[in-house]
Amino acid sequence: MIHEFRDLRRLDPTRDPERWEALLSRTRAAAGPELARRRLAAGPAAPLARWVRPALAVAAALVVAFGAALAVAGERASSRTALASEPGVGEGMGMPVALAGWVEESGDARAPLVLVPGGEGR
Amino acid sequence: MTETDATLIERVRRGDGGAFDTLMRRHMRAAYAVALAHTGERADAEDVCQDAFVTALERLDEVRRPEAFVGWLLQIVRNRAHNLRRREKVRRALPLDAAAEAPARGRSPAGEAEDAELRRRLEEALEHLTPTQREVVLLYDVQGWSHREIADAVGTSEGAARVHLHHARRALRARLGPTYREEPS
Repeated sequence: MIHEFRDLRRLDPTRDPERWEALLSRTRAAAGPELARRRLAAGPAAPLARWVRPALAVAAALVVAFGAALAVAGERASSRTALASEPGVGEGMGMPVALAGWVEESGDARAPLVLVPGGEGR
Repeated sequence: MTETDATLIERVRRGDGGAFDTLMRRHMRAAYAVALAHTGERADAEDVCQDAFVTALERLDEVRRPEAFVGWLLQIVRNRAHNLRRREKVRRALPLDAAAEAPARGRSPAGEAEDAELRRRLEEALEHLTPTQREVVLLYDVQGWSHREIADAVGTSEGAARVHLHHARRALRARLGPTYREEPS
């Protein structure tokens, strides 16, 4: 057996063509996704592809900002409505609604006292 | 006309599968020789080659000197082989049985067994060389590379490559006896 021993060429992988081609084929298949990615990046749609991601990011940021603004505005509106529905000082003192409104709007802290019998105006 | 590595690399960068195929066929044997020098086993060397080519493709934009592509590729092969060996050391204590490898097609069972035995003896003898000596002797004797090409790929001088080859052959002769026939250097 040993007398047929020759040299390191026995380790040459191409001595088994089928196995060698299988290795090349496996490597080609494994490289497929990366080659496809590169084709896409270099193709005619590349400029569009380059813009799509940033454009989507900007659009998403705008949607979030707009949503946040809407939420804040909605919250303010609801708190204003809640305040408006609460009875004011005048109403609390038993004044007619129209008069109570005038008292609220006047902003003068003494206004109710002017109207109350025995108040400051007496 | 044969396309240069630089031209092929430029085409592969744009995703040209044909160019990748040509580049792979051109350098796979050298990659295999280096992988075998570091793993010592066919199946592992094949895994390393496949992995290294895909990694090289993914990192192709890092190639600054396309004319030195093969040296860059072989460094990836060495790194991958090193990582594989480290993982294998942890995973298994026993070396892979050469007999478990897929036999060559179109040969008699006796021929296959003999070939496997001779390959096993060679691989065993190679194990006693340093990784650089293994690379040099495999690139020279299996790939038929020149000392200059080997020096570039291994990252050494031409003289040092000759010295590595000389030491490698002396060690192989000592292990394998007079049956070891070498290419004239």
